[in-house]
Amino acid sequence: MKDSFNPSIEPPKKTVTLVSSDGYDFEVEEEVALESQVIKDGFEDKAVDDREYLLFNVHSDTLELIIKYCEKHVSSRKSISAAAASSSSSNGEEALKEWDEHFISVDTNTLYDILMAADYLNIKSLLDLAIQKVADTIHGRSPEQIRKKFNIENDSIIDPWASE
Amino acid sequence: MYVNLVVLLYFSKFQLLAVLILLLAAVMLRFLQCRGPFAKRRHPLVDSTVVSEIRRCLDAGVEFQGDLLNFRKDGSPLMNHLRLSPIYGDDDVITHIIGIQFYTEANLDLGPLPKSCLKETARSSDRFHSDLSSYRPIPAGHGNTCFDHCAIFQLSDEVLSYKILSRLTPRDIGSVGSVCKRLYELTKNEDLWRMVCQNEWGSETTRALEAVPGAKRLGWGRLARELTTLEAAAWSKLTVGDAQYPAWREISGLAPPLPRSWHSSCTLDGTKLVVSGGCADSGVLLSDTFLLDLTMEKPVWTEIPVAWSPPSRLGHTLTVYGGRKILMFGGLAKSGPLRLRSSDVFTMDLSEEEPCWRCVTGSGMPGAGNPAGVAPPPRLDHVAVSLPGGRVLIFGGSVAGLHSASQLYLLDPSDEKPTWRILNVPGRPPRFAWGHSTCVVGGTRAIVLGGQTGEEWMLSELHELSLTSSIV
Repeated sequence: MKDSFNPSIEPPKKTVTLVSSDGYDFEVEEEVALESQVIKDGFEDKAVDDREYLLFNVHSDTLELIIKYCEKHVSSRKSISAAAASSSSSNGEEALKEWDEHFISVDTNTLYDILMAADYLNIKSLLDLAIQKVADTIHGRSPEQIRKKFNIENDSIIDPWASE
Repeated sequence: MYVNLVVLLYFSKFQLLAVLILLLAAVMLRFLQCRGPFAKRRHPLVDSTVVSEIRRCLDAGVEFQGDLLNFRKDGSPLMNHLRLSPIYGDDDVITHIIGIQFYTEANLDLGPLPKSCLKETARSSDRFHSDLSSYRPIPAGHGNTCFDHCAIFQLSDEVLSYKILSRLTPRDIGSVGSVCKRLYELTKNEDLWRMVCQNEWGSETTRALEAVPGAKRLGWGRLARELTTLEAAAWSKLTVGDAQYPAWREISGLAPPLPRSWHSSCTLDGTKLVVSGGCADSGVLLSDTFLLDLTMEKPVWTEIPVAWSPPSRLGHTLTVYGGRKILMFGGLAKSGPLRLRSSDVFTMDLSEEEPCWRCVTGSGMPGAGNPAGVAPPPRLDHVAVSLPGGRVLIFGGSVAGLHSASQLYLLDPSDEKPTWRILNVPGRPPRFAWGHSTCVVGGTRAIVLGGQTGEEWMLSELHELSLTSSIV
């Protein structure tokens, strides 16, 4: 797609700085940052040299993962639409799904960090992915299994059906 | 806008390190401007109206006074009374802002700190940020000791309930509700129950259930439980007053199948009629399956092409379950070991591109018996009711042997190895066994009208099998 532009007038790659809660700067391409609906909203109104975002809720460890996810999705979308345009067959969607599945297979603490960051940044596809992962972990388990899995102490013996 | 900052310290009864206050003030202004090397995570209890008020006052160049929630290094909450006064230079430009902060202990119960925050503090104790990290508030009143090591409770109730739990099934919510007090509280939510019921039963069934009088009063949680356990199912005899009669309208479909009687039928998606088997005028038993899409302007009958069909039969039932799957049970079959009444179960998934009949369980199918459960005796002209969630309930009919026709049998065809089980319910079942007419109302009530007891016809008796309690 870039080839259609004259290289001499191509603007320098626009970047946005994301600052993690622990004070680390992450410089990412604009389109990667725009995966976050929160950043996208009102982005145009912000001065170009003021495109720095403090992510109060996102630790650098999590932010790194989030950026990795967004970069992957931006590049995959490009190659999928490029493949569609040249009508060459591609299993890009399938591959991306697999990548997602692998990406979200993390320990529970990291999973919650990703979930909360995706919620805070409003990255819908990632939030969906993380939520489904947590839901899958609960599905089909007995109360005792859920307690074990999530390290929850049994503080009461309640039959949730019997209260009425 | 970059503002030079001067902080005057007024020590309250809690002495705090000047450096911490400087940091807090620096961070606060940084927060307002959204620039600088440190970031402060905004706590949900930090009143955003106060924050925007600060912003407004700074922009307008007037003094601000207000209270703001802040946090100590250990995460305990702290109330700041903050006063920000602009200092103007020679040319009416703000050169300084004086910030004065009073600290008081905030009397807020935010619960113990989640684990990851402790981890974060330990990992980066040399940096400032941990002074300022804040935590999700945990509603007071759930005196629960498990919060400090349960990562899942870092998620807000809203995320937990509406985003995660809402994707599960009623059975899952039942399990989740007995895990601990907090989750129990979370599962006491009608909206959540409605969502999981809809996950399990589909929106059409949920809507139908909503229309059942009394179902709302019962609540979705109770409804889910009763329709899962069938503990409240009961027979009752009904008496009817005057009623308005609906009018029938004839629909002529193109390319109709052979005229027949004693066939069985069911409706798919509420709009398509499926007809199978029966007895042709010539007395020949049929095994074909036809579909009529009533949404078409001129409905056309289409035969569902299958490589193999269950033996021809009449008096069997077709039941829809799990969306677009149909289940055939019983009937008078032409072939098979019994040669007369059948208790075979066949299924077909009509959402598949090339649907085919599968034998699920039956008397004469090798390897497909019913070792663990109690299969209903072979029968024809019986009733099959599809329950929300995909189970199928069988009763009535002309039954082989001396078995009671009103005994209920239950099968979950989506099980890996579907097994029949007996369902005993109280109340007064109909005495008549066959020749009755049955319809299901709202997914929870089967109404049985008339029938033959074996000795006489009872044409006007009406019985109800209610699957949930206290629906009037």
